[in-house]
Amino acid sequence: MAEETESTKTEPLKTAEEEFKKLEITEEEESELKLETSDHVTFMVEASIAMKFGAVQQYLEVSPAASASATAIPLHNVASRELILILEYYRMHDWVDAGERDLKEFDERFLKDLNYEELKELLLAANYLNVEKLFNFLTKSIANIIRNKDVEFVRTFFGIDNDYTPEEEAAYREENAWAGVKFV
Amino acid sequence: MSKDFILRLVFYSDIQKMFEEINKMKKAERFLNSDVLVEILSRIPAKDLLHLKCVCKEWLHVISSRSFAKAHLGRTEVALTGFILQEKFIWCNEDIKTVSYIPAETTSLKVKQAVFGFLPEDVVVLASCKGLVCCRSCFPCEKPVIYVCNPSNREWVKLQWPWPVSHYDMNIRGMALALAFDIDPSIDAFKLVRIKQVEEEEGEEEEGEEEEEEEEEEEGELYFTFELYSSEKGSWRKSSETCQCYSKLVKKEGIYIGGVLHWLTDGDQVLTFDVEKELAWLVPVPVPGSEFIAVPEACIGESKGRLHYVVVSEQGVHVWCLEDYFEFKWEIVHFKSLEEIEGEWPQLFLNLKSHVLERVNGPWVNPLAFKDGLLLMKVCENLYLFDVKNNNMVQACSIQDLKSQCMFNPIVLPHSMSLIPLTPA
Repeated sequence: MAEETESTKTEPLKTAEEEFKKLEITEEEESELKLETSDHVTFMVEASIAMKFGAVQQYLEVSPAASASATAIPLHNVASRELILILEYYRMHDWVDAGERDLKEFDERFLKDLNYEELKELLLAANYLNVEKLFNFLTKSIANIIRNKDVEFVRTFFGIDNDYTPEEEAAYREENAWAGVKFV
Repeated sequence: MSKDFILRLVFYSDIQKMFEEINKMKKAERFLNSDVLVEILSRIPAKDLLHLKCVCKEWLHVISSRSFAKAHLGRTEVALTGFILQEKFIWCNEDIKTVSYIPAETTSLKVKQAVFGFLPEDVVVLASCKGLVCCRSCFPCEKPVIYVCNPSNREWVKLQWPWPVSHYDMNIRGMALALAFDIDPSIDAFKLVRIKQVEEEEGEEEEGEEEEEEEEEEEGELYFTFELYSSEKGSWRKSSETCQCYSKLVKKEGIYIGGVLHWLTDGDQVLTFDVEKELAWLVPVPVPGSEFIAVPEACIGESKGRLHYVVVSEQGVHVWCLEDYFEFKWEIVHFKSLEEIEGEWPQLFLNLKSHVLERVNGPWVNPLAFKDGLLLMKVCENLYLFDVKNNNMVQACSIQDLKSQCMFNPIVLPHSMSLIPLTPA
């Protein structure tokens, strides 16, 4: 935030439109929602971000009083660890000054910092929260991870037991051999 | 059940750890049973999905389902995955049964045969469109049929042969049949178009397919006619549209782009046919063949939804893109001289110019097919993949890899694997 104000100082001719956007943000930051994760950690989250979560929207539709009152909105299937990451992602993607390249770099770093286990956990949390942008980003990333890998890797990745007999598996491999696909 | 639970409670001294364990198990289950799996898999291209069927039975079930095929078509682009190649004898009546598949990859290229092993008989491939392939029975054959199939999911439909068959009929053997298919979630219907050159005899309706082309030498008006099959109606119908044209089709593969079929003729023209409106017209190629010293070899193909014309001459490789169908406006999108090609890939090419100028038993340098910026090109005994945009050239295979019998005039179909389902009629 400090950087932001500095840049406006050095460039006083910034358009009024941008100024307006910033005002909007500070205004929105004033209203916050209380979210409680599955491990009973309470977060105060900007309403502008929290309202992007489908699960929060749904909750408020059922009990609209929660938005004003001090009662926390419970997120049963999201642990604090995941919520921190989700908030980090949305704060970055919500930031008006973030250019396309910044976001790309951020996404790459965000992904690099996660191990496979965390990645899966985060995807489930994103699915539960119904946060479309992050969910799409994560499914695409996982698809990219597994698309070029052999079957054994994919099984380990998802913790899947092979329920084929060796003969059945060999038959399927044979069937698809023409397509030039790599097997183990 | 509860006893088991208590036992496990005792077993796990650390209760926290046990909860974590249970939680983890639940999550793994949720992962597989939920729509999350479909969300992930539907973002993986068809080519990479085929081997994921081997992960477990659940995945096989998901990937093979029709609802998944639909989700997948909406998510992933249908892009080039390889070329299907089949050779044919020029004068012999028998069809060559070997069909090869050349993957469009710049690494670990390996030519594969037995693509159509799931069909009940050997076939000759005729057309490929968005993952669907149209083929016919090999001749000689008593009761030939037409197949439309998808090698990715091994589904196929069989169509009756609507034309009279005689064993020594060159017309039928060399017939051009094109496949028109649009990806539309509400309609999974395809169309076939048979194109035929006939001579219009005065006052008489042409009849009897055998005689038509034999009398070509004599003066007469030559027309292309179009017969259409629609899978929705399940029947063939002759279009009233004809197109006067004195040149022949060079490469019989019809290229389908946005509702219009294209065929290359030997008269410096591309024949086009709008399948919906049933309108045919000729588009002249950008540079007539007479402009070159060599006999230029050409092919047409689709890239970025537009028709491209690739011509190889003593000057080099020209790639043109058709910008306007009615004003015949072509734009050159790529050019590389033979000297440049030799200079950049000296380990692959030598004496290209003399190869282009020489013709012994047909062309030595021949562009076979072009799709999505990738050109499959034959130079002497080898096939090369030339990635025009990224300026990358790799040797795809040698003629031996194709189990070649006659590399004179093969059918080459760009193939883009997809999961399009086919409902047997």
